[in-house]
Amino acid sequence: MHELTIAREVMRVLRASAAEESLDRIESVSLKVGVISCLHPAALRTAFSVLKTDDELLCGARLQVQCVPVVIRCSRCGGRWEVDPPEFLCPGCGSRRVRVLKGEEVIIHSYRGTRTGEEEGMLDEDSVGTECNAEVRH
Amino acid sequence: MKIRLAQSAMQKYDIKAEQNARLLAKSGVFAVDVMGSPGAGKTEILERTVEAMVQDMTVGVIEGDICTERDADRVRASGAQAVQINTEGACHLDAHMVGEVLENMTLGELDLLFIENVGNLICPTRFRSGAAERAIVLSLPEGTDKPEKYPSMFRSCAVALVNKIDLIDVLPVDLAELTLEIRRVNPHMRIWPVCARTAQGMEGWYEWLREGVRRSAAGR
Ligand SMILES: Nc1nc2c(ncn2[C@@H]2O[C@H](COP(=O)(O)OP(=O)(O)O)[C@@H](O)[C@H]2O)c(=O)[nH]1
Ligand SMILES: [Mg+2]
Ligand SMILES: [Zn+2]
Repeated sequence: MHELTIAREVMRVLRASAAEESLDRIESVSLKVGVISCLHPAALRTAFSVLKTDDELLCGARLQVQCVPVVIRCSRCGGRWEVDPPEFLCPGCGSRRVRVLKGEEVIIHSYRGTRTGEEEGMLDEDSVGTECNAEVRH
Repeated sequence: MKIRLAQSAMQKYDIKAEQNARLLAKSGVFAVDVMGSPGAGKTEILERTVEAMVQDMTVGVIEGDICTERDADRVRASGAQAVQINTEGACHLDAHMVGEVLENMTLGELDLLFIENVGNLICPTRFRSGAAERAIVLSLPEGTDKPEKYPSMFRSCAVALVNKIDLIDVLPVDLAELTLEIRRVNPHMRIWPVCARTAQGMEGWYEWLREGVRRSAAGR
């Protein structure tokens, strides 16, 4: 359950940032989680919802987890491809000598917060892409 | 109001791992993470390795376990300076736990340092300790499917010790197939089939370690 560690760290970063921005409510948080980050989105969500309950700043925050697919660069042909783990194979030339460019990251992309007295209007268009509930590879 | 952070949630850990790496490099210590499932034989491999290496160098071991001092006692008996970290439930070591131990070790006296992680093929993957290299211990009874099931862990390691080859005749596991499975996820992996109980097959690993120790001492 290292998801608990990460959820705690995400909250620590949010608290620091909200203090800097003088925000006292966080409504939503957008994370980008690579499919080979070794983090399980469902476990991350559970950890987050347990930790936020007694937190004034974060208790109303929705966690949005966007999955980042694996992108590799082939060391032989130089091609850049999206691949499905565990197959780390260049679709162009068949080489297994590839470097992972994306898919291992855990990024706190953005969040939406308010100050007392100010009400938020509608959600903006570019907030998040597809929600990820899929099984994640380790 | 929307705030864009674009910050890695691992930043706090990655920065500390970098600090540990610099401290180890400055002290001329070659540090190796030892990863693998519970029972793969990580500690037994370290016992044999320490016995072989202490002839001509000083070896330290940081043992990460959820609880008990047992593994530290074992490698201490082999001649290593050993420190036990009890993670008290946590499924991995992180750079901050390791850094705290490094501060209290006399690194100047050490040539080689092993960091045995909590037995687990998932959680420790993304938490770097600051060690220069990572080794994975995989034992024959675990079968041939582990690389495909845990590709990130296998890709994060430079060398693999395939342990318990003394059991090759009683287990339906094909060593050639296992080697192929490892190379499928990590074509660069150096692989040594070994028996930690008898130290059979461990010469290549020892040589790889000596090479690392020489490099780290020269770079100090
Ligand atoms: N047959 C056999 N058993 C081994 C070998 N290496 C370790 N073991 C046994 O495997 C068990 C787990 O070993 P240990 O070193 O504690 O594994 P760790 O949990 O990965 O540190 C112990 O009972 C060891 O004696 C080996 O090469 N052959
Ligand atoms: Mg052990
Ligand atoms: Zn290619």
